[in-house]
Amino acid sequence: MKEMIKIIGGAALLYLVIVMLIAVLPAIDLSKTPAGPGVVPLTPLEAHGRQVFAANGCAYCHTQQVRPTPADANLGRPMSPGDFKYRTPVLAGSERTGPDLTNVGTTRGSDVWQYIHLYDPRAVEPDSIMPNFKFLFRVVDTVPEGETAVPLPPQFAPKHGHVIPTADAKALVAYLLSLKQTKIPGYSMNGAMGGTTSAAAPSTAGGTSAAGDTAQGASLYSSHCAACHQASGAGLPGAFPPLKGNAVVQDRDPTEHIHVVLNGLHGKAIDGVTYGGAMPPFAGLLNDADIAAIINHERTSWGNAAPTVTAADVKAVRDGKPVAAPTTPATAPAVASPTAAATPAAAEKSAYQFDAKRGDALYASTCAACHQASGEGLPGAFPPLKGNPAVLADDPAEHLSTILHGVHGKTINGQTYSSPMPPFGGQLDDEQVADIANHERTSWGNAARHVTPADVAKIRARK
Amino acid sequence: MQSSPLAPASVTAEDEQALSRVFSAYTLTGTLWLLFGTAVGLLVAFKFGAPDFWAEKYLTFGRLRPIHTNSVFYGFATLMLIGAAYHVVARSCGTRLYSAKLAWLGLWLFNIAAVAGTVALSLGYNYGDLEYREWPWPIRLIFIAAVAVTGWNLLATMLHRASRDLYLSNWYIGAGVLWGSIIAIVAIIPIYQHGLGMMAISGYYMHNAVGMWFTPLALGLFYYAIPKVLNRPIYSYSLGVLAFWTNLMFYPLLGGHHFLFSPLPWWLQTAAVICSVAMIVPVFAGSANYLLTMRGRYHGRIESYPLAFLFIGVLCYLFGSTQGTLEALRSLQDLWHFTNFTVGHSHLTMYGFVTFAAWGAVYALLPLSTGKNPGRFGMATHFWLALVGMGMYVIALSIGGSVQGWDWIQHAPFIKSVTDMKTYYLWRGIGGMLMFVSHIVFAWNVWRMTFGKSGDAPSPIMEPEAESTP
Ligand code: HEM
Ligand code: HEM
Repeated sequence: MKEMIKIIGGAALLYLVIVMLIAVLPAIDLSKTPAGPGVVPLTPLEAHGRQVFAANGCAYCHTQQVRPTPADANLGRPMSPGDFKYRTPVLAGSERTGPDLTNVGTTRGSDVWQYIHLYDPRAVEPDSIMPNFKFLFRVVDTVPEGETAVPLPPQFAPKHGHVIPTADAKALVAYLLSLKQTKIPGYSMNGAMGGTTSAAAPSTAGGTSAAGDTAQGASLYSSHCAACHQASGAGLPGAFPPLKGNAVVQDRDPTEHIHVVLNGLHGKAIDGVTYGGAMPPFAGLLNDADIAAIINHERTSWGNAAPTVTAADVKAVRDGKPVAAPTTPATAPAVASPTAAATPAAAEKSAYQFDAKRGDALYASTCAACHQASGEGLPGAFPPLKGNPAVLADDPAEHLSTILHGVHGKTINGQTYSSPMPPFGGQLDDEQVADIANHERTSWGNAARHVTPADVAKIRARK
Repeated sequence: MQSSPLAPASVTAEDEQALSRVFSAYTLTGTLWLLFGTAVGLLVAFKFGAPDFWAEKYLTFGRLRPIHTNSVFYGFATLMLIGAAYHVVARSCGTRLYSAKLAWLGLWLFNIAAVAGTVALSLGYNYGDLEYREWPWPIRLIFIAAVAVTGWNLLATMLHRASRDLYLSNWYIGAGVLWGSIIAIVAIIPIYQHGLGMMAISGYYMHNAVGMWFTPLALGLFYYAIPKVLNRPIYSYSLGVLAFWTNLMFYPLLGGHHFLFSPLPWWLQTAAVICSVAMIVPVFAGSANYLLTMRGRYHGRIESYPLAFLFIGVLCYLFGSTQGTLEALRSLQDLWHFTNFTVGHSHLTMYGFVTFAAWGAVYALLPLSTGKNPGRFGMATHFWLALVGMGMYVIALSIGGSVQGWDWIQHAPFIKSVTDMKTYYLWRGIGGMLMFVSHIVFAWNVWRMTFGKSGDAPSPIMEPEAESTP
């Protein structure tokens, strides 16, 4: 009896003391940790989403903790105690079968992406092994008032009907989008929020380091952009625009391209398609060198061949200044011809020379899908441009206006075409429109006079 | 205790029978939970290669995974260990079970909790994905009641022992049930579990549930079953005493290492690392004690399958815990934390150590209790399939986990770590399949040791030493 109390009772008592000291008392103290700057409670909708997250065991594959270790340096800043004030349950996780979600509201900030990904992860990430969560969606014949159908790529969509999210899915997505680290004043680690390039030398102003950045650019693109725009640059039809052949990406003047990556984009029609989702801004997440590397990857992949940019260009756009630095063609040797590089954008415009090769390429990527490479169109669906009166007219106003603003329901040579032609004014600059128009005006036996970017600018301004 | 325990004068034949029925019932239901829990484990492993397979609401990965862990922890491992513990405590104390009724009540409570917990998780009632304590609190209250009833029964049995000394097994088992109650109660009280406080309790709970509940029960069974099978005393009583107290001093703090580099107080994390290293003392003392008890009888391991199971259990205790010590070092945490290496560790320890210990104890002791033997071939099949399967499982994930960790350090796109794991997930699945088949064979063996027809295996107790040493 005595021996038993001594041993087993002693062991239990000793354990109790240890547990108080190492678990209970610290936990009492830690539970009182105040919120860090900017850390706010979840809204009721987000809190509901957190329930859905826990109920379906998301935390078994996804952590929500960033450590001060090399492996985590690209996930954001390390956690600070103040981050946890409103995190009950903590959902910190202990395994990363899938990626950490601490900043998913920033890096995958598009609700459309989140819905598509939940419905079928393979639609946006072919190699994903995450289960689908189709049970969080309903398939309906007609989309009810106030609901929006998820724009799924056809091969992932159900055969009939439209997919709309349930209340649980909406709450879950609201919760995911709320997952963003707050900035801690005075704290900085490798650039903005623990960028990845602390080790990489900043790009030199000459832009000659473009080659050295390619691996970095591909890797950054893959972790920050490919989720939506896809590794192939083809985007997801109807959900995320392609970057391959994209006018802003191909534009010689990179200002708009840099601007979009820095500040995000919402509701702009691209190639006639308006996208419901918003592209998140990356200005707070990536430093200038990272953004330049990503942009250069986009400008030189998938057949894109636009001039590359430098970190200094990104900085200029960040500061709202014009991009002063000359741009170097990506394909040119590292030592670019000084004269070509030094030509300022304005001078280039006045010295416009129609380049048949450029016009041909632009026509092929932008127009030929409908009007065909032969310029003959598709009978009944898309009108021919060969021998087309508007194309042949001496006054280019109608021709240019159609390219810039699109056209719908027009009768041409007695045939009415019902499918609309999208406007291209948003994605092509004046020079590109001129190139395309001139290509059309001088091919397939057409022989009309050349137009200039100035003509295009005039028509653009008119409407 | 040794070969001739104190003549259990006060123990009647009915008492023996009652104990045997309790032991059998715990083992049988535990085996059912093993079959269920690992069938789910296999399904979960399969889903890594076929994520769209059975992705419906109630069968989604995130609901099945906690069903796997909780049912093997609180259905299988707990019931198997406690069934054998009843036998060990009553026999080593030379007395009857204090109350068979309480043992049956405990069995019902454990099973009700495990069934209710499984249903709740499948319906989406998950307590914040907090590992191994996901069941909603009312169900965990039932589990606490079951542990309390069991503890009362076991301690009361020890109180009525015939001998003056308390054999080592009873130290571990008696303290284990009290530690288990403390752990479960600390984990359920919500007042100090907000935000970071909850994270601290999770870190504490995850490793204390394995280290202060399953580990002491399994070690307690070792101390009885190994000498019993070998028919010779434990090598050193004082090594056992040293291991007991150092285990108590160092193990509780291990939990903090789950959250190395987290905002938990630095002293707590550092203490966790130091204690993880200090764990070498009890682990080596304990393992050495078991291995030295087996000295000179190594060839006998293969002749006696009960001993073979116990031997693997001891080795995995040694390897798994040493591996844990390495994992806890900050530099290696950089590489292995959050990777599948951890899952490999979990199975090396919970499967290689705890599960093999439970099997070894059942093969060694259940035939003595029921008078029925399994088949020799059945035991051999179970042993080799389980061992080879586990080897594949653990090796695949240890390599895969290292690759995964390396990809992250390289800042490769995340998806690379997913595609790199494909082969290793496949090997894990093949290993898991062998493991699962071995469990079906085990169930058949248990049936023969309890209600079925006795098999051809010899008595688990080996010939006395003199005859087998050349
Ligand atoms: C056929 C046998 C088994 C198979 C195929 C299997 C498979 C699995 C799988 C696929 C996971 C999830 C891993 C992940 O999320 O990455 C897992 C987790 C786990 N299993 Fe098993 N398992 C088996 C047997 C067991 C047994 C018998 C036990 C304990 C007695 C056990 C304890 C655990 C634990 C503790 C975890 C969580 C690991 C962690 O979080 O680190 N398993 N198992
Ligand atoms: C000296 C003894 C041990 C040490 C130092 C140790 C250390 C560790 C460490 C560092 C981890 C976390 C790894 C990570 O998340 O990166 C871990 C996880 C784990 N250990 Fe141990 N371990 C020891 C013994 C054991 C034993 C004996 C068992 C089982 C009976 C066990 C079962 C587990 C389980 C199930 C996990 C997974 C928990 C989770 O992450 O969900 N360990 N151990």
